[in-house]
Amino acid sequence: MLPGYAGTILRIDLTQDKIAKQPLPAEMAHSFIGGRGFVAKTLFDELPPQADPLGPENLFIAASGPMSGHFMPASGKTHFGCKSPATGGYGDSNLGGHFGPSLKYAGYDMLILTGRAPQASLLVIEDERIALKPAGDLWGMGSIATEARLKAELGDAYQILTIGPAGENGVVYACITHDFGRQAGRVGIGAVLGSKNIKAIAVKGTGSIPVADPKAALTEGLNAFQAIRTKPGFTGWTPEGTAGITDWINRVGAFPTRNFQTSYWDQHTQINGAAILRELKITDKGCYCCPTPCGKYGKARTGLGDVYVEGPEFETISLLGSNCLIGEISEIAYANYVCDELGLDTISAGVVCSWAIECYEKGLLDRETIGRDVQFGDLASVVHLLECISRREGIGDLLAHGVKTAAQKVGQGSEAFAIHVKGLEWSGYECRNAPGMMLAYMTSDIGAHHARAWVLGHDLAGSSGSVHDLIASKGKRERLPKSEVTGRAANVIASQHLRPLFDLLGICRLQFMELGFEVEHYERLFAVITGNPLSWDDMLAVSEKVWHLTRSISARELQGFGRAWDYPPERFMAEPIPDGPNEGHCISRAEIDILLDEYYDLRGWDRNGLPTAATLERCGLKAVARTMATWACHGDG
Amino acid sequence: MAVSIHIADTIRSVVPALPKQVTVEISKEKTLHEAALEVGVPPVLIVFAIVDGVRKALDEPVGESAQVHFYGTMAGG
Ligand code: SF4
Repeated sequence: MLPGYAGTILRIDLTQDKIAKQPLPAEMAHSFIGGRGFVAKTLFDELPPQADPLGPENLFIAASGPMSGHFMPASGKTHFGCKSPATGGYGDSNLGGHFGPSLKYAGYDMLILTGRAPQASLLVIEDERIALKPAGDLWGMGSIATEARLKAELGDAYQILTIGPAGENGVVYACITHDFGRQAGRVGIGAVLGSKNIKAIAVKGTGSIPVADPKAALTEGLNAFQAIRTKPGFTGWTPEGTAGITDWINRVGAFPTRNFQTSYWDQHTQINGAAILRELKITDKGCYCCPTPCGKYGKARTGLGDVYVEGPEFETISLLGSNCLIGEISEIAYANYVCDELGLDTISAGVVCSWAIECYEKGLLDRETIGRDVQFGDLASVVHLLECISRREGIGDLLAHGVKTAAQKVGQGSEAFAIHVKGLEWSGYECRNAPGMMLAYMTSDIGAHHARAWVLGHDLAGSSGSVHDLIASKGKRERLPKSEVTGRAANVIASQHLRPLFDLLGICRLQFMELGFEVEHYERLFAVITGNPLSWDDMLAVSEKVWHLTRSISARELQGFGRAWDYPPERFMAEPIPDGPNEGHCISRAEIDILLDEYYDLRGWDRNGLPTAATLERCGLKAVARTMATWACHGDG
Repeated sequence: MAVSIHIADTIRSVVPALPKQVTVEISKEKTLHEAALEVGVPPVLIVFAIVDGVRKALDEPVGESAQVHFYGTMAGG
């Protein structure tokens, strides 16, 4: 028995229709903790090198963590992993809701799918009973509609993951949806599930999870809930959730606008958290055991119709909103709903749509190719593109490959404004004058994603001495000074260990990050739940190890992987921001090289950005170092 | 008027020299923005203020408030 864990890995070979249940190795639990750690370890060990991301040999992994499903705040996160069809490298993504806890109550810490089911299928897990059922009648249905139908058929006690048409059709930024609006959005995990002919996974668990010290776990859990409620941020942050930072992001000139042409938009107050409360919200919605429900479930009324939808949260506001110049919160919510139903990641979809519209404006894509006129600020244009993408019809077949590949095919300079790193579209922060955050995006292991490190505050702190009046001037008169690029790597690295640590544990990071919930609570809870008194620093060391491992996986999977994959798009290095607090700023290639050199040196990677054998060994990855040597793809420092 | 100003860890994590709490004499006409400058908190780092339990914008006056909390962000979206 491993306290904290369900104790079993469930493996299903969909081609052979074989089910295997394997005890969770104690060594794996101790060395990789759970969630993202289990995903990385399994992908390194079991993914056939150079596998086709949408082929049967790719792995689809769902993994909870040791703190998932326990009586403590926000313990409902589930991590998913695969070789990413968006980047060809390491991929993971997570979602909240209730799926991970249910999987554990059913008896499983991990679910690993290999092969491909012979027909469209629904996977049903009810404790020890596993069934693969034909689901041809669900194929083609929207994600939310599928979940509603399965809830009606199977019962509310089932927790359900679904994909939409985008996942069925191999769109490389297709997501998984759960709980009517929670997504594992990134890296194309929905396309991997679709490539396995799995339309949905339903799980019902009625068991329990062993705990090292149940009485102490109950006391610590209760203390933690009570402590969170005393945080002043409890009443300040929760009501608007992540959308509550919209005004601030705009004020500091980091709001992606018009396909990242600029970073400031004076219509931000129409699409901020207050606008959600004013115009959309019906109720708060939270994940399993969450005392700070950041989800806002509401009704959007638009000229295209009325819809009920969870969201939009900040990233969606940013990429489907300001970046597409959609200036009404109800219209952003409508686009959010369309993405959810079609099974598209709102971040990638927003970037792809804004790139396509800019191509149209510049005459690089014409009306005939796109199927209609499209323009920034027009909801119907965005919805047209989303629908084409999910069905891979017309222009959608090109755009379904993601902005990197689409730009390579269109050419004519469109690569310069295809906003991505490694093939993953950039999320909601413009950082031509935020070098730390820029570095965080460049070196994020899955591509341009903010959830790996978030250091915008550090970038701004360095400039605060001479800028004091951004509030009074509403960002219009004051200009932020050009930020220094040196000395940024340490904070980025620390953040890259801290944030993904929550993904190892299987819990939400927002209570720690936004409310200042103390580390000591997590240490005590981890100890009483698992019986393993790891310090926070011990856990961070595991998180560091996983970081080197995920980089090694990408190095193995992508030919020529290294420094060249870490550069930002040309737009950020060549086009100064035209207005707002960061007017006139951009970041030069030479500055990018300074950022990368400092980062690689501090990481213990060579100047091509590959972990050295010594670094891998120092972190307890001796076997990885040996394997990488046989692939001749670790650094030679 | 004495106002107790609390500075959240989300701000102190990027400016560690700031205290957790400080009490200042401040006139009630001053804005929260001015109060932040008075205690050395860079307003650019403040995402929102909570005044006596209610979320406020920085251009609002301190008024009769007794407890002011300044919050930053570490997480983004
Ligand atoms: S803060 Fe939001 S994302 Fe985190 S657990 Fe709560 S509802 Fe889920």
